[in-house]
Amino acid sequence: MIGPAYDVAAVDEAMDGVDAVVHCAAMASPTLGTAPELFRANSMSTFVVLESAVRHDVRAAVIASSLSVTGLPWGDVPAPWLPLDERVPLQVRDVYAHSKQVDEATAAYLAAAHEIGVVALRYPLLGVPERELGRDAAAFLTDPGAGARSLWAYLDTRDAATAALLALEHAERLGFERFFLSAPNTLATLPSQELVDRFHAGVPVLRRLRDHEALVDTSWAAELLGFAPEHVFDPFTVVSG
Amino acid sequence: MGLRYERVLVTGAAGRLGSAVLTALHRAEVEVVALDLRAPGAPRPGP
Repeated sequence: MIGPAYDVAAVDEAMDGVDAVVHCAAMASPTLGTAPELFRANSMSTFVVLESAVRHDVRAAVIASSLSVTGLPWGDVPAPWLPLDERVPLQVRDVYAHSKQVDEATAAYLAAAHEIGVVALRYPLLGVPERELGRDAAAFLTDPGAGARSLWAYLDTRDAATAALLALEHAERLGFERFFLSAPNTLATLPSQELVDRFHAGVPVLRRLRDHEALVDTSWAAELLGFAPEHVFDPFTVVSG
Repeated sequence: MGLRYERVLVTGAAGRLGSAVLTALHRAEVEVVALDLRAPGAPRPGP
C-alpha cells in the first residue's frame, strides 16, 4: 500500500488489526519541500497515524523524532551544553525542528489522554558504513566544521531499528518519553574535546570528554530502554582507505 | 529479541529507517504490516 501518511482513510485501513506502530514516514530534511509541505508531511502525518492508532486501540507506538528538534542542526543556535542530554531546552528556529517539536507534543498529548504509550526517538544522521557514514566521515576529514551543527553524531540504521523495537517493548510502561540516540563515537577523526574547543567555543562541557566519544549523551536511553549500539563506524577507516 | 506485539504497522517502510525496522521485525518473527505510507519526497532521514 502506498500513499501519504496524512491520508486518514489510508492510515485507518492500514491500522486494522494492528497492535503496535512504528512511525517512520517523514520528510527528513527542510530542504525537501516548502514549509507547509514539510509541516503536513511530518506533523500532520504523525497526528493522523497516532490518532488512528488510538481509535484502533493500539497500545504502543514509536515515532522517529530527530536530533534536529533541539534547533542545532538547522537553526543558528548555540548548544546550551555538551554532551547534549534530554534536559536541553528546544531552541526552535526552523520549520523542521518545529515539525519534530509538534510531533513530540502530539505524542505526549495522546499518551496522556489515552491508553497508548508513545516513545519519540531523537535520531541523529542514520546510515550504513558504505554509504552515508563513510561519505560524511570523509567530508568531516577535509572540513571538520561541516559536522559541527549536527555534533558529528550518527547511528547505524541497524542500531536505529533495534532501538525502535526496544522502545516499542517499553512504550506502554513509559507513557510518553523521548530519548536522544547516537553511536558511542563521532564521525570525526579529531578528538571530541578538540572539536568542542574549535567549533563550540564557550559552550559548557559537563564532563571530561574521552577520545572520540559522542557529544550526545545516550545514558537515559541505555538506562530505560537498554539501548546499546553494536555497529560502531571507525572514521579512521576513511583515512586509511 | 522477542516482541510482545504480534502485528506491527511500519510507516515509511521504503525509507532508510523504515526498511531497517522491517528487517528487525522480520528477524523477531513479528507479523508486519509493511506500508509505504510516506510523505512524498523524503529519501534522507536525519538528523
